[in-house]
Amino acid sequence: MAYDPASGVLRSRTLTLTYEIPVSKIARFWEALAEGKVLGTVCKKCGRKMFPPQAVCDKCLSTDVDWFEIKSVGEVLAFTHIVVRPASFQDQKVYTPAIAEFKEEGVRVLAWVAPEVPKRQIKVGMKVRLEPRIEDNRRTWVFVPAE
Amino acid sequence: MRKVAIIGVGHAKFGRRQDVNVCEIAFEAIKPALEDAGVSAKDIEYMPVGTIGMWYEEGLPAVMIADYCGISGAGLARFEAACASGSAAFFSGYMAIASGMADLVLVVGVEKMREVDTPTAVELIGRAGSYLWEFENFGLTFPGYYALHATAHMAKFGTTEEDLALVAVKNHHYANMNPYAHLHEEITVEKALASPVVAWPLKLYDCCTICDGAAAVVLASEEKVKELGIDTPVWVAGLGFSSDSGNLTKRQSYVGLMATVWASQKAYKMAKVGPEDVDCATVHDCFTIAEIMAYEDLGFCKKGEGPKLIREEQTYVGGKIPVNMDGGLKAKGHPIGATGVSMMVELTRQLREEVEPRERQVPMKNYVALAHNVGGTGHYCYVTILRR
Repeated sequence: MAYDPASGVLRSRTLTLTYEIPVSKIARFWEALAEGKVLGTVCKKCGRKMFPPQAVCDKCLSTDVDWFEIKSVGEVLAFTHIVVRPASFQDQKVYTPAIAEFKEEGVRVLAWVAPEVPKRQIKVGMKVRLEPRIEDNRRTWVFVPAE
Repeated sequence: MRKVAIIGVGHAKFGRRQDVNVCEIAFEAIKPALEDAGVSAKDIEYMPVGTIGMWYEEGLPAVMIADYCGISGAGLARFEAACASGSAAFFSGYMAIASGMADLVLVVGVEKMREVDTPTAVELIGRAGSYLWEFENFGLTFPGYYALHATAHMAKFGTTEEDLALVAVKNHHYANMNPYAHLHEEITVEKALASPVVAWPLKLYDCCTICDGAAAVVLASEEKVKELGIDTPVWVAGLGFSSDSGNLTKRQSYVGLMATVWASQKAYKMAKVGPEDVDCATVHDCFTIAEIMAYEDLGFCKKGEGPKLIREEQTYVGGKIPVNMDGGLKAKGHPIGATGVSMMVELTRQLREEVEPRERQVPMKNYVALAHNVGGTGHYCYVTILRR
């Protein structure tokens, strides 16, 4: 019972939470990152394309889906530079999430614009490609300038 | 479906409230709401509570609040619809009476967000989206989600950082006159523009406050209104709800929130009114860009003309459609679960024409008011239309 009379509060017991997130149904996505590919899923029944990938179709609920690679040039629709960061991102510098549309594949993707890209260069309408990155066994994907 | 009226309202002081726990701050809203309605705690049949929790210690807040305030024995449930949790609880209370299951309901919205440090609060709100695809690798924050919409709106319609600042100036102006508001500080466009960047292009003064707060309303059936002799019941005329994809990549566009469009269409239809009939509104201005998008998505102006509405001061009292006369989430504060219920408290007082100081009172023409409460970034939406 850590009672602090000066502030009038009692500091509670501490709980640390780490989740073990099941990704077995979309393991192919995480494996493909190591092969240099970013994949989405496509419904074999109705043709619906999905990113993020999921093992069932969110349109017709079919469980028969296939994989496809997102490899064309996309266009940035929106972005932001995150300055005030969450507790678990305190060790990062300012980072830039963006949403890009890949018309050829028919999906949109959310990712950081690669940290080495000068912030001033990042605009709505910018042309980008997807690139997987693996650091310390943390698998992610970023946007890099297409030109 | 039976008619449902708001017959009592109560509101705690919003802000950093280290002096009270979740039950104690809820009491500050519940007691005045019961007194306003002229009923006692033991008369309450059902108490839905809008709250997210996580940032405060209690795991079963509805139970603890009922116990602290003498409501134990009533039906209880906790509602989560992110920042629209208060409206989700309100909807449940409305349904309990409309369906004939209850005659007297107390709706509570409460949050204690300042019992954890700021980076932890930023993390917990940031996880309110698609954890695996938007947070795990990309650390999106709540300001970040709305900043994505701001850059898209600016690129498409030429909306400027000054336009965003104008919303902040208005809402600080009204919060300064609202004794229950978190921030009591008039600001200028220059001050807003010079404030530190949180998630570009949003700066400190574009963002609502992370704060503690509570609000409560008593709902009653028409029979109960007559039995209690309530002289100014405020009726729930329309209610609409909707949602949109939890992954931003699956949204139609980033210049508006479709959940707002869909929910408001349902509410207008049920109330048999249009946006032109609304005397005043509380809209979900968690960030300044959110208020501008709300003007457009609720039909107060055309898509892309939201900035014009604030530039012309049409959303001030005396303008075409006064918005957030209580200071909004922006400056009154946004204790997440309390917000939807706080909107009902403000609109009830507006419709009863009892707002003090009078500079905050909207002149009523049709006695129709609208509350717009968004959860997440258009993940959930509730629109409620009240009429006296």
